[in-house]
Amino acid sequence: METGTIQKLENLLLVSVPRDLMDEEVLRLRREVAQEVRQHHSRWVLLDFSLVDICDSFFGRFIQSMAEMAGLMGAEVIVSGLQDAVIETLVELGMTLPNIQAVLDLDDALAFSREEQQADNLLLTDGESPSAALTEVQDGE
Amino acid sequence: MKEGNKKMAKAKNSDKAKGQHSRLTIGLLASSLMDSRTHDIWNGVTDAARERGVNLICYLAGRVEDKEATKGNMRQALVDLVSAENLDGLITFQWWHNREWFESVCHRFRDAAHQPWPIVNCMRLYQGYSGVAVDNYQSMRPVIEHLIEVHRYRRIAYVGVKEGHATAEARYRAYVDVLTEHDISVDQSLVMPPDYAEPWFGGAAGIRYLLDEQKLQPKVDIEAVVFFNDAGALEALDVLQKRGVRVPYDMAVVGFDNIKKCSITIPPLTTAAMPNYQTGKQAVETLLAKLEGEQVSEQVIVPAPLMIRQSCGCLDPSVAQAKVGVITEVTESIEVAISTEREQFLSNMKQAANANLDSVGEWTEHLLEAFVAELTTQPLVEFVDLDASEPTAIFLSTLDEILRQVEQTGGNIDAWQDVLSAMRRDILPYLADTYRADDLWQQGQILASKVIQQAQARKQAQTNQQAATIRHIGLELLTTFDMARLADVLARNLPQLGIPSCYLSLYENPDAPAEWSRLILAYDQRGQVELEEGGRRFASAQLVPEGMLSPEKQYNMVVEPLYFGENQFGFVLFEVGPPEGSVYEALREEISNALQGTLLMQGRQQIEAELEQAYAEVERQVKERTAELFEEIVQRKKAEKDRERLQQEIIEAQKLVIRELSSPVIPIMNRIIVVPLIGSIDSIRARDITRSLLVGISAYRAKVVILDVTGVPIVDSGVANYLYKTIQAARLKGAYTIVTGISDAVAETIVDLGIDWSEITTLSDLQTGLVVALDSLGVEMIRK
Repeated sequence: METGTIQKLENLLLVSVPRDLMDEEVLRLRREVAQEVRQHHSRWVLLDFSLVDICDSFFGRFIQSMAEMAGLMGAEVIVSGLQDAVIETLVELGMTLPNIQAVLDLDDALAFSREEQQADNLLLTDGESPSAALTEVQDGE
Repeated sequence: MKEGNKKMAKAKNSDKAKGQHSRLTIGLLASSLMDSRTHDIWNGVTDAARERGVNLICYLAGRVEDKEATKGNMRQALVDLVSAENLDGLITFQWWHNREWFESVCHRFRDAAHQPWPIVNCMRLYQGYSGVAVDNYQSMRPVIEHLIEVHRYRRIAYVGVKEGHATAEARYRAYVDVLTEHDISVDQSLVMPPDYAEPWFGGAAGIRYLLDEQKLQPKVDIEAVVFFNDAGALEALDVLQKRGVRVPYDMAVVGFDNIKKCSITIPPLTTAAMPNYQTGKQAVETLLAKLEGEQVSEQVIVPAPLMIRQSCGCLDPSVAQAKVGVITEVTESIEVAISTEREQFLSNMKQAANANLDSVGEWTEHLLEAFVAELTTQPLVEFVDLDASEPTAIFLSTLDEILRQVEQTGGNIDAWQDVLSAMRRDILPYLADTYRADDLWQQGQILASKVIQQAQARKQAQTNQQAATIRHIGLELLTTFDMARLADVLARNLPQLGIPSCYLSLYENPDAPAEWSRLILAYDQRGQVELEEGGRRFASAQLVPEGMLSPEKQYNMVVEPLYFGENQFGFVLFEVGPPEGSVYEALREEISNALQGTLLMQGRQQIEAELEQAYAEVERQVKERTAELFEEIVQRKKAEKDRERLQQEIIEAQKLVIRELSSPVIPIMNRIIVVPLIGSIDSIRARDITRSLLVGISAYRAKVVILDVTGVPIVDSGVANYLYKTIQAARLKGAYTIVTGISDAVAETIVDLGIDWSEITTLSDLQTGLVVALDSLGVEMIRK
C-alpha cells in the first residue's frame, strides 16, 4: 500500500492521491501535506486523482477537509484528473465541491497557478496587498 | 460295444457264451410292441435269448418297406441303426413283407466283409433263406376236421379266399381238401368270392354274403363258417349276435390265429393257435445254430395247434376233462392200482399240467403221494368232519404249496385244475368208496380256483400299478420343459417300473439319424450317469457311447424311436424289465411328447431371446437417435441464442450510434466545444449527455463548454436539474460551462418554476456564448 507522493512544483504542492485510501492513511496524508505546505510556503495544493477510479462519501469529506486545512495555512486546493466515473458518482451524491477549483490535468493546473501568480504579481506591483488580490480572484470564481 | 464284450468274455472264459470267444448279440427287427403278434414273438425271442445267454437288441422300426413307400413311418429311422457293429445276427418279423422286401433287407445288412448276415425271418419262408413259420395248410386241416368229425357238420361255409395270397391259398386248400376227403362236395354258394367285398376276409361282409346274398338259413343251409382269420371271425360273432343268430347252437364259427380277444368273446372262439411265442424261441435257436455253424434245417415249421373253445359247439376243454365217464367194472383195489398204474397216472397228470418244467414231474408225484397218503392213513369208514386246516390235511396243503410255486415261477396255474381232473378220471374207477376222494378233489378244485383268482387279482393290481406309474411319469413329463429335468424324471421313475437301465439319445442331425447322436440320459443299477453338458456324442449305430454297457452282464434291450408328428428326435434304449411291451410303447409316447414340448419351449426361448435382442437393438438405436436429436436441439438453441446475442449487439451498437448522434460534441475552437442538445431530455439521456461531454472535455482538452439548448422543446424542473448536474460534472473536469439558446419561453418557465440557475452562465444565443467563451480564455477576435 503506497501513500500518496507529495512533490513540490514551483509554488505548487503536488499530491498524488493513491488508488485506495484508508482512514488512517488519510489522516497521515493530511498531516504530511500540512507539514509540506508549511515548509515550502506553497500557494496551492494540487490533489491529483488520476489514479483513483472509485469514490465514496469519505472521498468528498477528504477533499473538503483538506481544502479547509490548506485555507487556514494560506493555501488553496485544486483538484485535477478526476475520472469520468468518479465525477458521475460525486454529482449523483450531490458532492459538487462548490468552492474548489478543478482542472483537467497537471498541465492545466500548472498553467492556472502561473497565471494566478502573474496576476498576483501585477497586483502587488500596483501596491495592493496580495491577500486582497487573492480574495478578489476567489470571489471571481 | 461288441468289441468290449469279446475282450471281457475272453478274459472270463465264459462258459455260457456260445461262440468260442464272446457272448453273442442278436437283433430283432420288428414293427411295434403294440402289435400283439409281434409282442408274443418278442417274448419268445426274449426268453430264448435269456435261456441261451445271448444279448438281445430289439429294434422297433415300424413297418419296414422300401423307403419311398413308407415316408410316413417315423419309426423307420431305426432301420439305419441296425448295424453289424453291434450284432452277430438278426431275426426279422414283419406282417407285411414279401420276397422282394426280404431280399432287399438281406442285401442291406452285410457285415464288414460284405458277407450277408445270418438272418432268420419269422412267420414266412423264402426259398434260399432261413426262416421259422407255420404250415398254414397243415394247421387249418385239424380245424375243418374237428368240425366234420366231432360235430358232424356238413354244410360248412368259408370266408377269406384270395388268389395270389400264399397264406389264404394254403388255408382255403385245406378246406377244400378236407371236405373232399370226407365226401363233401364244395358248394360254391358257401364260399365268399374274393372280390365280393373289402377286406376279403371281412366277417360282416361274409355273413352278409351268406345270409342275405345267398339267402341261406342258419342251422338248415349252413351249420358252420370257417374264417380265414380271427379278425373276420370275431366281426362275424358280433354281427350274428345282432341278428339273433346264436353261436354255436344255430351256427358254429371258427377262425385262425388265436389273437388275444378270442378267449373273452361270447362264446370264446375256437381257432388254430398261431405259435408266435414258439416261433420267436425257435427263431433264436435257428439263428444261434447258424452262428455256431451247425448244420440245421434252414426252414423250420412250427405247428399251430387247434385251440378248442366253445364257438364250434364244444364244451370248454377243462369242463370236458372234468368228466369221468362211464366206469367199467374194476376189480383191483386202490393200493394195487396205484402201484401198477402209477407211471400212467403221473404221465396223464403231467400232460394236463401243460408245462415242460422239470419241477412239474416232482410236483405231480408229490401230489399223488399226498393224495394216497391221505386216503390210506385214515380209515375210510370213520367218516368224520374233515377240517382242511388240520395238519393231517396233507393233500390240500401240498396242492396249495405247489400252486404257489407254480405262480412264482410264472407257470400256468389254470392247468392244475386239469391236473386234478386227470387224477380223478384215472383214480376214481378204482375206488370202492368215492365220497372221501371226491371231497378232496372238490376241495382241491375250489382251492385251485381261489388261487387262480388271487393270482389274477395280483396280476391286475400289478398292471394297475404299472399303468399308474406310467400315468404319473406322463404327468410329470407334461410339465417338463428342459432336458435336465426330463432326464431326472425318467431316472427317478423308471426303476419303479422295473426297468433296470435306460439310455436316451437325440440325433445330432434329425435328417441323418444314422450319423451322430448325443446321449442325454443314462442310468443303470448304479444310478444316473453323469454326462457332459449337451450330451455325450457317439456314432448312432453304436446305440450307446463306448463303455456305457457293462460287458460282463447279459443284456436284453428294446430300442424305441422318439418322434412327434414329422419330427425325429432320437431313440431310447430300455433294458427289458417287465415283459409287457405296452410299458415301453407307452414310455416311448410319453417321452416323445415331452421332448416335443421341451424342444418347442427351447425354440420359443430362442425366439424370445432373439426378440429381446432385437428390442434391445431398436432401443439402442432409438436412444442414439434421441441423443442426436437432443444434440441438434441444443445446437439449434445455441445458434438461436447466438443470433439473439448478435441481434442484441447490433441493437446496442445502433443505440450507441443514435445516442452519440443525439448529443454530438463539436470542437469549434481551441479548448472550446459546443454541445447542441436536440429533443427532449430524460434521466437516461441526461446521463448519456454527461458521459459524452466528459469524454469530449478530455479529448479536446476543453476549458469552455457551450451547451446549446435551442433544440430542447420543454425545459422543466427535471430537465433543469439534469442540466445542473451536467454542468457540475463539467466543472469537476475543469471546464467552465455556458448555457446558450435560452428562449424566452424557457426563461419564463425557469423563473416560474423557481429554479435557481444563478450560478450558471446563461445566454440567449450561441453567438454571444462564443464571444463570452473566447473572452474567458483571454482571446479576442479582431477583424483583419
